[in-house]
Amino acid sequence: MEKKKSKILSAVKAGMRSQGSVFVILVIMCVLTSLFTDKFFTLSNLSNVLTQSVTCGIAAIGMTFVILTGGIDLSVGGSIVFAATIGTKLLSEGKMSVSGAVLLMLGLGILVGCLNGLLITVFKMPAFIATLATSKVTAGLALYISMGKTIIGLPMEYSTIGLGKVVGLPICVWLMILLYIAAFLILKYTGYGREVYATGSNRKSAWLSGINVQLIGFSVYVIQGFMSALVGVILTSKLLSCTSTIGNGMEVNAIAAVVIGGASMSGGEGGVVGTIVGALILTIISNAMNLMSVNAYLQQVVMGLIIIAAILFDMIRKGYIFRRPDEE
Amino acid sequence: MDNKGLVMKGIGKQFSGVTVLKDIDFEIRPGEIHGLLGENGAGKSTLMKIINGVLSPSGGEIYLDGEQVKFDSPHMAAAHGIRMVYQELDLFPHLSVAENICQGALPGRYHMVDWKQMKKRAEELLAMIRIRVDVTEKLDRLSIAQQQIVAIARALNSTCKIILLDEPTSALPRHDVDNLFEIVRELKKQGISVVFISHKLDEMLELTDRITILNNGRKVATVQTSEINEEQLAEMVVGKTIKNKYPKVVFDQGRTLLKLDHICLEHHLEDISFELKAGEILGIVGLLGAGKTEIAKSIFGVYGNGKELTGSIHIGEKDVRYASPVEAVKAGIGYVSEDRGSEGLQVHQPIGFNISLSALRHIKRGFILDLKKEAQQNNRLIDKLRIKCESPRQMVRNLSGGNQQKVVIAKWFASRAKIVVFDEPTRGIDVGAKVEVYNLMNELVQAGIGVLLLSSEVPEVYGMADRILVLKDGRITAELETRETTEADLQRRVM
Repeated sequence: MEKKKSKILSAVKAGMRSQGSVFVILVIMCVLTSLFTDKFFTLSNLSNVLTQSVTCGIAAIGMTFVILTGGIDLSVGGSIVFAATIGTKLLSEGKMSVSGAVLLMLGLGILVGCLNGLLITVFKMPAFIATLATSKVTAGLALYISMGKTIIGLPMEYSTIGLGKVVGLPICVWLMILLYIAAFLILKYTGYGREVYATGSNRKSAWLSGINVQLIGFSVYVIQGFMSALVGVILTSKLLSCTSTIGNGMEVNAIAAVVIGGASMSGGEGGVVGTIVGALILTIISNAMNLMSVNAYLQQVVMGLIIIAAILFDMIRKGYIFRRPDEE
Repeated sequence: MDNKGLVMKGIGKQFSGVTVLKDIDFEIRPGEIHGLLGENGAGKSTLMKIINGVLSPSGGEIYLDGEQVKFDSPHMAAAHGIRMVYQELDLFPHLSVAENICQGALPGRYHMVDWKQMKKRAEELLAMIRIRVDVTEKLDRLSIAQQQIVAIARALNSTCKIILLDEPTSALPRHDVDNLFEIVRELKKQGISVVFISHKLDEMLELTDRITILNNGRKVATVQTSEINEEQLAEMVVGKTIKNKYPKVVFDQGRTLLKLDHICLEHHLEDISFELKAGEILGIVGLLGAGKTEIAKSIFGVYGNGKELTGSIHIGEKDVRYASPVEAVKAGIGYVSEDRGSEGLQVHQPIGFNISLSALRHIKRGFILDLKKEAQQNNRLIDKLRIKCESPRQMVRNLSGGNQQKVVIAKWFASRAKIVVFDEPTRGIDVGAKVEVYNLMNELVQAGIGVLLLSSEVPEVYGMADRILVLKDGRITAELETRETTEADLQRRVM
């Protein structure tokens, strides 16, 4: 009896350890949600889920690169509101065209990314501290520029990015899908992708293998800055306004998506396929709770608990806990 | 016969279906120095970890002083007086010597540390093995040899019947080895058993009372050291006779590949000048700390082109003081670091990933990596270098030391390096794998590559190099043609 039990247990563990556990969680989530509410598996709701996942999803692409190199970026929210506030302010005052404003916003995101990259790679600051500081700087500047007021009066055409549809799905969803495909191809099929993994996996050995680890470390923050700004564009375009709180908590969601997706916080392990699943899981949870009309404050509690559960599950899968070292 | 000491009967161990140890009988008598000898992957470490409670055996019984025991953790083994000193010393570099020694049994009351008592205790323990070290010194200011002694002293803090020393000499220069042997003999005098693990046959013969030889997870024999010689021992370790430990082949030499002119590195190197020709193995021999690694890293661009490094380095006709390893690798220099785990390899990545890491520019078409070409290259090198693995996707951390080293060498084959710098290339790898590494060096020089062999092992340099430089305290003190010197002469010059 005992033996049989341990056999089943080890089979379960082996299954969990093999790749794709995040997919399993995703499927379980979908099934559970559809059991509790009949509205989940409707076309409009699924399209809703995808649309809702866009902001977290895109921010998490950049975060995947950052975390793969062993870094972290806490300035996502700051970058979003910084880029969005300046862009929409100029746009609302009619000082810029829509395309000009969008380009400016993306440029501002890249600028913040460069600043982060510079502080971290050239001045050797810990990523945690450096990005925390830039997040304060950017969020503060945004507040100063908007004086805390919501920016309105944006031209209607600006809303195309966030609300326009092509072939049944919103443009921003297509944009996200394209970015994920691009990120996947970059990580898997380019030398740059390989070097990102190597830098995070063992920075010193990567350097001694001839990889420009400083440049790689710098570049991921630039990618994150770009992605953050893009999220800012999409958010403000959807709302056709810009408030000072639009970026709040976005870095936490992005980090959660990446980690739920199976990446290791110390770098070198993970990928965008896991990340998109992680982002979808987070969105479905919040969607399900909305459908079940869970109290909005309680939703945050549930969200936090589910992040803990997902990460715990992943750690068991990888054998970091509940396993004697000799089982390896 | 009485049943004192540790007796292991029929010990077996399997890792996910793979048998690593089979039916091992092993016995440690009180107050003996027992050598444990075997190639990498022979099962030495696994056996030690079972004794130490890190691993639990899949089969067999363990008796301590006649009573059957079962250790679930190193903590439990320690409570029974069994302590292990690991090869990678598990000490705390930022704490003081005294704190390190008393770690795990800090003197004091009510969770408050009694610092005075701790200092006293540490000094007593060091006195016990007749060593003087300032116990208030921070550990990372000590040499590796001294740190090892601290680790031994820590093992002695609390009841200690058996000490397991895992490859304690692999990073030590000769006079520190003698010192360590003195300590081991001192322990024996006090009735403590020592299990001594090493690859080095001469050390085994010099130090131990009995030797147990493992091969491929099985016990070959336990022998009285006094009744055996080095050749017999080597035969038992490998399972066959090694005819030639140093398979040196001399090839025609070509043009000068690398030229160092008056290289000085603050506090480390002074006025280093030499030339390396294509098809040549140039040996640089010196004790630990003589500056070998610093020479390697100067060539490889690790010190950049800042102020601390002066002098000039030429590759071919070009003046090349590389700003970083990035440029050095591009220019065709390969560096086999003395520190495989943290500098040479990405241990948490697959074998294939590691092999092609410095060769990405060769397998790129535009921006895109040609994964097919990469797989072909990796498989070819795995075959050629005979890297024992299941597939290129296997993680490097699961390979034995010798195979890990071959992965590092494969990396520089793949990068098409023209100059390969080997820094202590056979440290921590077994006799069989050493010969394979030497053969790979031969293959490199045959292809017209220049090999720089930096080592503290005199026989290795004497056996493999065409020309030898002796390095002492950062200066070159002699330049010798290998043919015109003897190993004994070289040994003398190094000391």
